[in-house]
Amino acid sequence: MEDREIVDLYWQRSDLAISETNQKYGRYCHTIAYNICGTQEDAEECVSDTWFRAWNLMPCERPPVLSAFLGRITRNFAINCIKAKNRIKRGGGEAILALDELAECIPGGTNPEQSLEEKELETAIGRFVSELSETEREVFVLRYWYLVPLLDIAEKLQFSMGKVKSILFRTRKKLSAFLQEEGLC
Amino acid sequence: MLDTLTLLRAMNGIHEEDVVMAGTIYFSNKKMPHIKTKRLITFALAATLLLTFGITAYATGFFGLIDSQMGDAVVEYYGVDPISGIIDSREKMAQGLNRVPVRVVSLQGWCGSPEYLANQEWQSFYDDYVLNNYYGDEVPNPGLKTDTWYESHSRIYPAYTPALKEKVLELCEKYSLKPLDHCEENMGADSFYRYLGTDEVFNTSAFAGQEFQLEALEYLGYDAGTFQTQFSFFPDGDPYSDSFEDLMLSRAAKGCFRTGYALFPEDEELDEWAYTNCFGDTLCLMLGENYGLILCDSDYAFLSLQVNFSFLDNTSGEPISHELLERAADLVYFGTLAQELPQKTA
Repeated sequence: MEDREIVDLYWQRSDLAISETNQKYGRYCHTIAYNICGTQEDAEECVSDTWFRAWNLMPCERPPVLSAFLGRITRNFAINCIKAKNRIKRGGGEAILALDELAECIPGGTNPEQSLEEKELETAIGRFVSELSETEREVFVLRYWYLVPLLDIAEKLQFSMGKVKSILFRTRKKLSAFLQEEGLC
Repeated sequence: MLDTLTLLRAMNGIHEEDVVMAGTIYFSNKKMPHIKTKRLITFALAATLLLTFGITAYATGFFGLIDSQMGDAVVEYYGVDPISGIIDSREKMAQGLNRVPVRVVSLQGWCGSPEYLANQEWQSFYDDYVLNNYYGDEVPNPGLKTDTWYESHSRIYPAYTPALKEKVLELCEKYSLKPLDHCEENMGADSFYRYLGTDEVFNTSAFAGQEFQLEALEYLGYDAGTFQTQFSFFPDGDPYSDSFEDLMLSRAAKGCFRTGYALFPEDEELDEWAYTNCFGDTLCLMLGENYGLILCDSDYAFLSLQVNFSFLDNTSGEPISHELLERAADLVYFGTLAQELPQKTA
């Protein structure tokens, strides 16, 4: 079923909306959640929460790209999950590794209680990524949006692990400089 | 101040089209090859070169492409045009234009050396075997489960059937070379130095900025100090720069059988010259438009430094200059690596 038709089901409050969404994007959202949470149980819970949230957001929202819309919701639930369950230290899928990597982008340590204009940061991140080269963009998004393991990225793109790590290392350095220039860290 | 979790969450700001594009790659059932190649190789030319030019090279004292080329090949690529860097292979594939003729260059020794001859014979055998669908041998082969040799040598030789394993051992005996039996794979310059038994590898003191990205250095270390390592070099000293070169430094210890090669486009004019680096090491430099190769021979090892090591995957997009290649030649203590390494005898 096309995305437009699935969104129409939500707007019509049809019972088929969730089942059609699950059929088309169940695996997609589950993979995103699992990469972050690290357990099947939590991933399934995140996916269920995603369908519930999507039901509440539509109507009102009519997302042009359903995969990105749902994926973003799932990401947020999964990140909240590992935060809530204190998984960061005990191991939450690829998230703990990605968080360690991203720490390089933030000079001078972290303060978990800080307040920040997240929307401004999101906009800046979007701009930063869009200005990367195609190869860097693909690798960066796979790693830090989808939290794909490095080996999987290497296999999918037919790169060596060294090349993937090298690209990510350079891109994180760029991100660090970018965030400082923008006054965001 | 920013925390990492907030930064991770802020990745939601990545534009939808970029998320979708990456998702298409990830969730596709097929691997998305940026570079996928198939090689057809013949060695008739190399044999002619040996007969016609070998004596000339020894007479002049300069060893270059003529002395290192093992043969010609045609590489069939999928994904990215190696010249333009544009992803347009579908149309070119349809027209049969996704092929590049290449020169295959030895990284084990000069023409006529046992290491060169063994590798040449291996490449010829391997390509014929693969192109003819392994002559009916089963792949994956049941032997992989029963013979531990395959697993222990999986990072050393591309030998995954009994025929390939036998060829490795046969060539070792024929050319009186030792097979490589040990491999360690690790990351970071400190690990690499420990493996080598020396830290006199990279000339970091000659460069004031952050030209090297040695934290991300990866290496495969074999017996007798045979190794290959990959790292990035930023010529302008800016690690954030888009202008960088990928380098692969290799050492093939004499007396050992090692596979591997470098490729140059066949229709590209190459510059080659002898260069004495800042340490007094005499090197052979070869330069194509997007790819450079530095070779150094000694009684103990054959060394190679590939700059932007796959011309099929030119990440920097910039042509390599003579000056840059000579700067690369100053990066490495070739003299140290050319000697017998501590506790690394064949």
